Amino acid sequence: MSRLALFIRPRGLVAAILVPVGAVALALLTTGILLLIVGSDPVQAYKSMFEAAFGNSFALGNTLVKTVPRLLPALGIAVALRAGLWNIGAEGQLYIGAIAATAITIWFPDLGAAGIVLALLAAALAGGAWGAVPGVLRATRGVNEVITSLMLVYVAILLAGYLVGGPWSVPNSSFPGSEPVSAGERLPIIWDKTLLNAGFLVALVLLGLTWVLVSRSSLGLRLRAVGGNVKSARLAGINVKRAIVVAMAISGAYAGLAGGIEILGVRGRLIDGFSPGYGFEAIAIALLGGLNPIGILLGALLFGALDAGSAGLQTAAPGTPSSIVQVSESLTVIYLLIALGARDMWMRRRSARAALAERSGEAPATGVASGGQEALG
Amino acid sequence: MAGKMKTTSPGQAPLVALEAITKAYPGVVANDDVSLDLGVGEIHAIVGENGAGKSTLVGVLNGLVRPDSGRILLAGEEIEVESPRQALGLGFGYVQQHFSLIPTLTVAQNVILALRGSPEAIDARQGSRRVRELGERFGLRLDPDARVGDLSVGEQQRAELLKALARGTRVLSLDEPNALLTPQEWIELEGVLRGLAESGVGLLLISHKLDEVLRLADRISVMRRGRLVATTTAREIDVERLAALMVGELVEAPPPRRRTADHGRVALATADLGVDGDRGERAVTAVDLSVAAGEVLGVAGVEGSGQVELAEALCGARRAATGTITLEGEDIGRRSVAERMGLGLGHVPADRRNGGLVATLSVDDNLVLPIIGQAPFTRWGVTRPKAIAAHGAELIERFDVRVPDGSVAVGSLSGGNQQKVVLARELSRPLRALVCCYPTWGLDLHAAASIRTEILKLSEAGVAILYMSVELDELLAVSDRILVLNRGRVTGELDAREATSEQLGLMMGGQERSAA
Repeated sequence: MSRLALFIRPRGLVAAILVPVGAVALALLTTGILLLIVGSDPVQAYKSMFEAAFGNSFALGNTLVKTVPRLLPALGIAVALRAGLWNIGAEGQLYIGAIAATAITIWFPDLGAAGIVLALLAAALAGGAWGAVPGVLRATRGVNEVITSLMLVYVAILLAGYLVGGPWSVPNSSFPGSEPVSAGERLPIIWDKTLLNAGFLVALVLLGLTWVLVSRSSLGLRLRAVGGNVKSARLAGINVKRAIVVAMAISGAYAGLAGGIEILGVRGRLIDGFSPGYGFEAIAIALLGGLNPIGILLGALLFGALDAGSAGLQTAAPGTPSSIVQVSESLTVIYLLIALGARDMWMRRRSARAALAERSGEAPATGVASGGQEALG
Repeated sequence: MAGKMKTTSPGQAPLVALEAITKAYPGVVANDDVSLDLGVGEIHAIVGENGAGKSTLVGVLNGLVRPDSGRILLAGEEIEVESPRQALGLGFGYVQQHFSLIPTLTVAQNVILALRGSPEAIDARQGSRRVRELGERFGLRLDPDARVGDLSVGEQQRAELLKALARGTRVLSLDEPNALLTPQEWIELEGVLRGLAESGVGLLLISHKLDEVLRLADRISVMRRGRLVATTTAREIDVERLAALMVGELVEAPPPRRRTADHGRVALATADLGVDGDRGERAVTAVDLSVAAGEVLGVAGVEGSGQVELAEALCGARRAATGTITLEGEDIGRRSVAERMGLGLGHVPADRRNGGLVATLSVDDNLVLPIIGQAPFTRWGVTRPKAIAAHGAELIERFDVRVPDGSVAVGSLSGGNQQKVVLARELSRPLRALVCCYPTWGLDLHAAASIRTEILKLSEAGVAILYMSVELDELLAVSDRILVLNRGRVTGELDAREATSEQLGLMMGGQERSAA
């Protein structure tokens, strides 16, 4: 290992941490100003939000419960992005996963732990299939996966709405939802006196598996090659079409699994509109985390904490619109994109300067033939 | 040609001057301290090989490229050209190789659209009548009501010219205006351009076609690898000397090749091969070629002559539209890239940054990419970093890649080292045939020489080599035979021992007969 490499890496790491942390800090600062404008005390507001997110074990458990449905789709989105694909439709894959898990619990209510495994597998498979559709269209027809995956979100949400309002509706119920999941097929609580369920452990295992997949597997290398340069990947013998379908299917499976966990662990039944947009927030989280599993975990924790904390905001500073939390999340993304854009521009300039330096260094070697201007005639 | 010299009189500032323009892109210096001027009514041609920096220079003048340093003078006054819009406002017009017309609109509508907001704006109601008048004024025959999408390429070019001229252009740049035209269309366009020059417009003309340039231009500037190597009047130079300036002499002659008359059996061959390009056009037509084991077949041609498409079809990245490809007698036309690799076909792609390597991956990962699924690099789908690093280290050592270690992103390497990584990857597999496309493109002479040496070593080991290049001296040095392509068709094949670069240059330009 040379000194040069040692020198470069920490700097890259510093940038990788500074950029998202700076974006979050700026977003919280801007949100503070907005809180002032609407007449709230930002310090008090943030304090109460922090209390509601981390103040005691129940609050922390709540934050972790709200982290999971953001973390899993974000990991999936990151896998797709490594292959150069924008899976914008994680929200739809999450709904399809929830539908599949619910179907298992309705059809086989008495399987116990096996039912849980079956339901979560079904959720992942269904989400994967939903994600594979835009992948197939992209690979075979060149259709932009951004559009198709996004459109399939609405299909999935409406399908869930139809099911809970129709075939799966509970007679004489006041709101549209399916029959409750039997107690034996609910994900067990893993932390006393909190709502934290075993889905959190599943998410942590997948976090590790994601790292293996992306950084330590032949499939991951192929996906990264496709994401880095499609043409180079194809010329290196990689089946690019297959890679695109596989990446989108894997991406969808993560979101589908998140949907299953949400049903079995949190909601206990399929409810119309049960997700407040976890799948969309996950896109921001994937970017915020720099596509790195640990970064994504931190990003998901942040968004989960903001979600949990918004309840504290309501009690501590009544009258503060809770949508301020969404404003804060959106600002984070905007600042992040600005910072990433600026970093890329800077790196391109530096790279061009390096080429110029290399060129002038090589000049003597080119000799007379390509020397300065030759006077002719 | 009478009255051709219209250079600026002494003491008078030229119409426009580019001074000491430098522009670097990641990995390549496109313009290195280039100065060039253009007089009123002058036709100034810029010639040079692919990647010599011609288009970048003209892009700087027209606000498409921001130079890193250097300045632009208009009639002696320094100006900043920050955007194409501003360039248009200054009276700079640019007809690029790829037209910027809207195919679903008529000629008149395109012109009207282009003039919107300018002092020359045409009221849409006067529409086609005014556009017809404009066309007559400039000698551009065109039906203003024809839909652009229905026009021939030559007519589209006239429409593009009309669009530029209608704005009262004083400085008109044309990038390869003759590239897509038939000889008849070009002769007609030549007349139009001469008329423009006589009316006082300064013309900057980028071209490959040396005889046409000599016929039309007042002055000619030659660029090579980002530098301006000569500016001369057209009267004082001939095609041969221009070609020599463009290509450049090789400082270090490649080691002389021991050429033998009879090689082994045919390793790689095509019959009636046709390949479509990215835009659906037929890029390669009816190519029959065969390379024997141990033989080097050079393929000469200018940019867009079908070399890249031919190489990509051979390696399996592009489907052959017609014909067959055989490797040691076996039809491989339907095989995938990976299968062809397994059969012993190597490929050095035309562009190492887009086709050769994945810039964001490490050197080690790039080296192992085609064989990542094999033992010992992967077990149960999980990669083994030690095996990958050892494989990388061995190839880095063997091919003398200058890199701190194999975990560095390949994009951070110099062009020469990147190309060594490509070669290392392709040459480390057992090969029966190697297709290399522009293997020394953009490299300094030492790097180029070492790449050539590696490839020639392979031919001595009995590998059949298809060597595509735009550098004629290089082809003459490495090849046994040279096949010449023009617009995707073979215009001839020469024995490298007897061929000359002049002869090849003329054939690359489309002349089928060989010069005496």
